[in-house]
Amino acid sequence: MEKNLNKKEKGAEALVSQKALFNLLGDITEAMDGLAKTKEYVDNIIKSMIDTLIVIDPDTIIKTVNKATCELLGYKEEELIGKPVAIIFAEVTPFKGARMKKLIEENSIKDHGVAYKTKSGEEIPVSFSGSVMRDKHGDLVGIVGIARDMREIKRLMQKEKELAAQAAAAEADRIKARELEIAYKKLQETQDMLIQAEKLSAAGQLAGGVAHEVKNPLSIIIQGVSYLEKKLPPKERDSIEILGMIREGVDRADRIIGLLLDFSKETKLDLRPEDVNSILENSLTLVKAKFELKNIDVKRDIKKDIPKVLADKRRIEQVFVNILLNAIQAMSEEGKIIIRSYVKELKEATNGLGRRGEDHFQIGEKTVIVEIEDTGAGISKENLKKIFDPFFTTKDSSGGTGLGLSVSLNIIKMHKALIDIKSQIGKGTKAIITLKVA
Amino acid sequence: MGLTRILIIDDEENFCKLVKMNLELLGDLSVTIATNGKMGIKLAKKTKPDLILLDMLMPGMKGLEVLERLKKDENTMAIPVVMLSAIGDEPSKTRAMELYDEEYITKPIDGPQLKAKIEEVLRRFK
Ligand SMILES: Nc1ncnc2c1ncn2[C@@H]1O[C@H](COP(=O)(O)OP(=O)(O)OP(=O)(O)O)[C@@H](O)[C@H]1O
Ligand SMILES: [Mg+2]
Repeated sequence: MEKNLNKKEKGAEALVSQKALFNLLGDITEAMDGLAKTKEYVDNIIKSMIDTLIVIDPDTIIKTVNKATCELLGYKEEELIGKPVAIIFAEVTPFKGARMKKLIEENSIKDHGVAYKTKSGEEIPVSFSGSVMRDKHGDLVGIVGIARDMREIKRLMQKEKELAAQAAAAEADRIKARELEIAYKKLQETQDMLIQAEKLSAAGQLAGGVAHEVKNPLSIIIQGVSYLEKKLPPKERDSIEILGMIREGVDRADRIIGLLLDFSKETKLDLRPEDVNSILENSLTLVKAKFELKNIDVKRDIKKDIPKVLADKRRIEQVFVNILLNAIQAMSEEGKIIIRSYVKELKEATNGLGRRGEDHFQIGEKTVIVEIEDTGAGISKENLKKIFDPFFTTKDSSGGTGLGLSVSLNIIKMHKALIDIKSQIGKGTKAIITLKVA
Repeated sequence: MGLTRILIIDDEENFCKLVKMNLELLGDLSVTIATNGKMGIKLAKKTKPDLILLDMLMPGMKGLEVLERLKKDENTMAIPVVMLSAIGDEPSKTRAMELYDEEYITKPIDGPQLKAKIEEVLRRFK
């Protein structure tokens, strides 16, 4: 810059008279003042810049450095001025080979990731931007470079990376926790089933042990009843009625023992290919009187031509009857029972919540489904968990044994089939039975 | 002799008595009672009843053993036997059915049902 000023001065000398020279001197002083001001202004800017600034000449000798550069690198200004710029770079400078060529061609480089080296040898990552200075002929006169200390930013980036990693770890923990929760739930379900199986077999063993002791006295009672029934004259109406009640009591006790025995016996099923629709019709016939008594409407949505299922007809009939009886009992006066049968190809794993029975089905397997739906009182969530337990009943007053569904479940299990009961209180209940195709 | 003679072998004495009372009340049947297996076999040989009601589960000699002995003895082998059981004693039931093709009744059973069964068996045997 001083060079420029000198040129200007010389040019002025050749051109003007004294007066003019005087004036000119004034102007020059003024201009120099201006220039000084400008220089001071620029120096100030350079000095106060937070980013480091260096200026090098075409031979890559350092010409100017600002305060920030000195502070960053631990050099004094005079230690840097006149030195090759390479001393402040850790390895390669942007002023060599291909990079230099590119810089000259494009007149600038931006945000180059390089490393400065301090006086004490420490390496500092910087983001370097450079700009080429040319004179009016276009010749290279120097390069201005600005470098930004990247340590803080790198730290922040590192921190961000760590935070991201932490977040990922937390997410992984969450996923693990959820998996654990699911596994735990499954375990609990299995446990529930085991407990239930245990209860069933305990009930069965008990029944097996006492059945003989109970059935013999029952035989005596029933023989006594039939004798008295025959002997009593028809006018003894009260006595005859009482005998009827005793008979009923014996029948009920006998039924309970029979049901319990089902659990203990290694009952062999008489499995044959059966038409599920006709089993359904038989079951309906068995409970028909009860429907009519209560004004219950039976709707059938039955698919014809469904494949035969592998079943012990009498046992599956027992299951349907138990479910139908429950449906009838759940409805006060009026109501609807919808019976469906259809073929379904299993799309998902079958062990959904509330589904009972071993999982003997495979995805893609063709199954026959029977649904028995009622518009009765429904079952609370609380009770829904217990309905398959032996002796669980809400019908104490009307003589429910609480064995209907546990017996049904047992039969379903023996068939390697599934039973699922869904219910909504106040709306109704739906039993879904999945049977194996023969 | 118009009466059909029945021998009941059952350790439950009251049951035997009631069966006797019922069957005799209901029709032309006469019933003899034996409350254990040994006594039953002896009575069977002596009286040669038209039909034997035999309890499966008795203390002492079990029903199946009694049945085997009755079927081995030429004096009694032709007599139809209806077995009575409180529980479905599956193994002895199948055994008995396999061996001798006998009838089988599960207790409790009331008078008329029992009579009907007896008549049915006798019809088949004639
Ligand atoms: N369709 C239904 N609607 C409402 N509640 C039902 C239905 N099915 C079953 N339940 C509930 O489940 C309980 C258990 O049913 P389960 O058939 O095992 O026994 P139960 O009907 O009480 O007695 P049992 O069948 O021996 O007469 C019932 O007492 C009832 O509370
Ligand atoms: Mg029920």
